[in-house]
Amino acid sequence: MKVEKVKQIAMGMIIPALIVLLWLGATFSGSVPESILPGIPKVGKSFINMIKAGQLGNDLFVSLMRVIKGYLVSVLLGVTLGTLMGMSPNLKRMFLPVITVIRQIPIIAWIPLIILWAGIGAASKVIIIVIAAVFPILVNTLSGISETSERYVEVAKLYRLSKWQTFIKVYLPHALPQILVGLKLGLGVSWMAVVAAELIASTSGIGYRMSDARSLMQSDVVIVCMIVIGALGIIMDKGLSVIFSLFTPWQKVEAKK
Amino acid sequence: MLKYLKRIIAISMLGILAIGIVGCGNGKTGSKNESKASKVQSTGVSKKDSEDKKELKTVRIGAIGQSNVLSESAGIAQEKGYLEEELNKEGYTAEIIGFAQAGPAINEAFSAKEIDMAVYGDLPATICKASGVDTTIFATENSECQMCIFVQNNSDIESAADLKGHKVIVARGTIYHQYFKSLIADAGIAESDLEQINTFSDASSVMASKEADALITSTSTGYYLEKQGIGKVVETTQDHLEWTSQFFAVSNTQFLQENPNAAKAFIRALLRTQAFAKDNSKEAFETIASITNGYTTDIYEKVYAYDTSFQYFSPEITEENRNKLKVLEQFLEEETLITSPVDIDSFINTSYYEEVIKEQK
Amino acid sequence: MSKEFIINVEHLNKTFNVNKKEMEVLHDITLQIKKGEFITIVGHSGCGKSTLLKIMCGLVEYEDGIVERNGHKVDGPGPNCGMVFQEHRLLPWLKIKDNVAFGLKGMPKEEKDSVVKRHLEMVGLDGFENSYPSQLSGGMSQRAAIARGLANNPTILLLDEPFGALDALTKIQMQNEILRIQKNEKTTMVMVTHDIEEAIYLGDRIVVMSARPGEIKDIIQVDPYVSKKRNSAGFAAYKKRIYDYFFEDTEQKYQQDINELAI
Repeated sequence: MKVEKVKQIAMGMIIPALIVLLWLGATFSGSVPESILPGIPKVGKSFINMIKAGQLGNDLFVSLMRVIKGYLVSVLLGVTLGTLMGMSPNLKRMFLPVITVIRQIPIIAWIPLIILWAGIGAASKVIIIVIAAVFPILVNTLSGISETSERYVEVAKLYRLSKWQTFIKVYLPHALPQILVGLKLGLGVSWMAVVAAELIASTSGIGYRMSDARSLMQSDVVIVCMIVIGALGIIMDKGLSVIFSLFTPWQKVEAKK
Repeated sequence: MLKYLKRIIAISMLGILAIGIVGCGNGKTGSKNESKASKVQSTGVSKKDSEDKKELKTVRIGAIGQSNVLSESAGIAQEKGYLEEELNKEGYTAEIIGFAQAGPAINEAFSAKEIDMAVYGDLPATICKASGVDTTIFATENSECQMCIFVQNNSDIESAADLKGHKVIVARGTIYHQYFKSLIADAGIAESDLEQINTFSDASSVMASKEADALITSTSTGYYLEKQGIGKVVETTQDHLEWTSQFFAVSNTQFLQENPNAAKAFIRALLRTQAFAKDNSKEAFETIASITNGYTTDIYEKVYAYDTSFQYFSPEITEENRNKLKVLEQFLEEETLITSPVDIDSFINTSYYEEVIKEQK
Repeated sequence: MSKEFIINVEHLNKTFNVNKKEMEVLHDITLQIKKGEFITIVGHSGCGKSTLLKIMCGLVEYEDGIVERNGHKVDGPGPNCGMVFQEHRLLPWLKIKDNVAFGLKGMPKEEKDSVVKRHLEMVGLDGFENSYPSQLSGGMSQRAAIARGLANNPTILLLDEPFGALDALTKIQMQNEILRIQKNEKTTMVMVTHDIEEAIYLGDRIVVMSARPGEIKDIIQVDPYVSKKRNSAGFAAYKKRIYDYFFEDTEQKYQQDINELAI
């Protein structure tokens, strides 16, 4: 059993190891100029400097707070609307066309408009994140709820459960795994949205830091920011999975089969 | 085993094919804007035979701003045809490429060898050199770039000291960055006393939507925005000429060494421009206005009213220019905006200018 | 109102709208079931037997006819009538004990636990309280579904082809199980099946239904002495009798062809 686990972790490490090797090769052979791709030691040094200066922590904190705010709003909006649309075919028919259209518009296209309407402060960042993250959450919630088998709903009917009870005991548990998928997607998108928003016109945050570093050709700082965002993203994603597995104990059993 | 191998080969070939298609179709990368008129041909030149054009070697020149027009004096050289004429004589033709994100974007283009030359500010040029890209300054374009503090109409900001506690647009990594630093150092306030917004291309919309209180920009842009009613200019470098920046003609060093005549042609065009401007200041301003969308002649008259001899348009790299650049380099090191020092003397190359002058005697 | 029958169906007609066409699924169904009986309904798939069951249960509405349960008009599901479906329909996110307790309302925990335990023992699943449905085999899941159906002690249990998905050996096992349970709990059972042998073995009375529209062709009262012996001649006779209802035309023709060949 343990050997299996070790093997799995090892397989997960292959691609990152390859990337590091390619990185080393590119920088040491001198085929890629330092201004574009700095060497690993330089990036490492910058990382330490940025932590020491407290700058990295500050920037991350600012961006993280924005992500959390925007994400929570997205979750609330997405799950609520997705549930309502999943339970009521009429609501679904009403909202789905509009949602489908808006969803196709890339976030980058929204940013100038939102900056015009909501400025460059905290509000605009949250709005941008919500526009980006609400859709995967909504769509997956909708799918999870509406795909609840009629057979289970009939069992609830048989035992004369109220509409609310049927929702809590049948629709919701059925939809939970799918909702989780949506939540994870929404989280990743939130990070992407906040960095994109901060790249354009901002006074703080990790996206701002990246934009600043780019202006000064400090590609080592840019890479440190990218790695940190990636790492934070993985941690939050895994965190979500752990929280959710607490709510869906029956999934673990099925996975083991 | 064989089936497995065959599959790997098939997938690899598909992968290579995909990369090949992407690579071939991808002529130019980066943040450049190529409008339909990207290959700018100056209006003053008679349309030569297309066969002739095909023989000419292209010099790719980076310019500040969205439109593919060089800054001010070089822009006059471009518009009046001097640049193309001089280049044609030496067997070259110019391709002007505009960069909406200004200095930082030009630096990336130099880094990726997407351009051969550029006309842009001392600060980004020095940062580029410090990051290891081998470029050389071979001529001055403007040794006194005028900049200003631009604020909202109802603002109570009258000088740099009043910027405290406000939101200021400062395009990091451009000449405005240094001017900004000089302003606040002189006023005795720290960067942490205010909020900086880092943008160049979105500056006017941010000001127009009142999301920032002040903008550090060129004086000509300041007057232009003032005309549009977006705000007002409260202070300019006219009163502090030591805070002005310099614009240079910079080239990829290897390209310069291999194409010295292109540089000399450029310098000749700039000399012609300076001469023309001195004798026809009004027409010079009209020309600049004609190449900058929406800017009017009176704006430039105001900006350059303090010295109509146009000595700042001289392409010579004087001792004064050199020293000013050294001061800038020190400043960048002190502010840790660069981590490796730049040897200004080897960064500048006056030999091309000197040769041109000698030949003209 | 007929109080002597625990289920009373009189002249029931049911039509469905399928693709804008009216399809008569049940035609003039009259069926009266006494308390404690085990009724099996046998017929082709699609002859409306499931619909009949669901109408009795209250899951499907009806407009034309009389359907009464425990002396009252049927207008919805009720606590006195349980149902076991063709698929076990255990909720995958609930443990077996919670599935079985699904219909138990307003009961204190200890009472609930003991009811669940008793019913799991009844179907031979004690020890599996904390398992999830995904961990059980088909047969075991169906047994859990039966436990759920009986947990709130209904007087009637309706079963819609409950053993259809099981292999032959498990099926026989389950048939014996349900007989045993019925004997102990004395629940009135109505089971729909397409398995003729099962219908004979389990039923006190067998309702033979034809398809399109669903009609009752015959109701056969079996002699339990005979019907519980699968290999007896009497069993085979019942089988032939029912068989004939479904294959009368083709059988005769086949017989004729053989006779002609023999000449």
